[in-house]
Amino acid sequence: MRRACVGAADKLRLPQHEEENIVAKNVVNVVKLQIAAAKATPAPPVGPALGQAGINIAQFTKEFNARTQDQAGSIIPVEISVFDDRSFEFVTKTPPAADQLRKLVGKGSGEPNIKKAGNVTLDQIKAIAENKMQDLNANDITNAMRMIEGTARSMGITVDGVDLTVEGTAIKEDAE
Amino acid sequence: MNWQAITVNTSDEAIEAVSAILMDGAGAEGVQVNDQVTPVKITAYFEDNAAIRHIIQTIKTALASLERYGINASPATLDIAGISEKDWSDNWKAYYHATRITRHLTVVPAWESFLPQQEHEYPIFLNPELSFGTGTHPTTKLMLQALETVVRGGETMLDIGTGSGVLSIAAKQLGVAQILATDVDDDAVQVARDNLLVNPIAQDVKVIVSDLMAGVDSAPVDLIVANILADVIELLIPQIWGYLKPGGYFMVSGIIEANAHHILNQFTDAGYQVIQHNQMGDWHSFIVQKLVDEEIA
Repeated sequence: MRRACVGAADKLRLPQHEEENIVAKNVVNVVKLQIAAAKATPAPPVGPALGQAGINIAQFTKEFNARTQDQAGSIIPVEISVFDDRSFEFVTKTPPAADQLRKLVGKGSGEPNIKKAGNVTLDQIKAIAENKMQDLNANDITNAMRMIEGTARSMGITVDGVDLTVEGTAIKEDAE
Repeated sequence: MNWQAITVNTSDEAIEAVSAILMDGAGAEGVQVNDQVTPVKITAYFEDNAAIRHIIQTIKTALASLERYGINASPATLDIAGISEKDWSDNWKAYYHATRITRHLTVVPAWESFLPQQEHEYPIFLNPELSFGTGTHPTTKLMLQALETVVRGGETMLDIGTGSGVLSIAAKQLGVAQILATDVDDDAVQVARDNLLVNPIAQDVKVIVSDLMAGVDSAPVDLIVANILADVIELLIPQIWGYLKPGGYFMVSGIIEANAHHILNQFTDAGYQVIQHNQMGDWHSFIVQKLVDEEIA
């Protein structure tokens, strides 16, 4: 994979010796993490994941925390591209389905088949599926909803009152 | 501190559910996902203590139950490996070398020697600990540029949220006479003191623990610098007016693009004159001046 790292030069003219440094760099590693927005620290998983990739950890945590400040309270998937000089770029994604479901019901259940964590509606499942569609390897919205439903089921969440650990699914075939 | 890295080998479709098990069920702070390999590897880290056996059992039980919920998590096997901080904390050092930031300022790792390329090029020796920067981040570069723009020599200065101490060392190199540096974090204060020790010119910088201005007892100064983050700078803006001499400069950095306009408004509302607004990549910095009536007249 070859990507140009030109973000800085787009926005301001740097001193000439700096601009000469901005050349196409090779991505040598892509690190994917799921961590709390605005709260990254050098502790695991950030420390070992980035440290072993040769990245300066403090530089990442400062940048990540600044960019995710307004999402505090959410878990954020982040993809960090590491270049051969160990500089990096990262992109953040929408919170995982489990995190979005947790926000709706409070907290997942440790014993999903015995204790129910709460109820969500099929519309809410659909909204999360649409929200996560681009990150899921799903063929269509029904397929994506089934994946979200699977996560809900493992957290002890009922959907429109249906106990998924018993019924399997609350999605009718015409859900689309 | 020692940790146990627990890796679950699983399938693409179970990434969400397994991550939730490791974070919700087992209490990990986060997970690392490697979906470039088959099977997918999801790793979480736990402190290596007596609770680890219970955590492993919790994960195994939860993984075993996923099939019942229609999630194919196979092979759903665990790899467990001990890891200590030294295994990851120093790797980046191999890639960190002296970096010239401005005409006069070059950041140098404390373990490297320094030979100026030109006259009046000054080193800032840093021994960056795990949680403090190397002096090469855009926010720091912007502040070093701002100092070089404003400092004439002989000033008094407050360095709020000093972290590694990089700005105090730079200011001393540029000729600032007297500096009080603060940080809310005990560890940062220690790191700053350690860095000052390897920079002979900055031996007389005083570093104290203080939550912004709460512990600062100082007569008004010529310069105040703060390289923090926008939400903290917003708290700081109303606190520092009385600590700044008329005509004095306040320099801030650490402001991400999305917050820049808001911070600019805060400065204007508080009565500061914005002298420079600079940008490097996504990061913004400001140099503002406290102009009072006699200054304007």
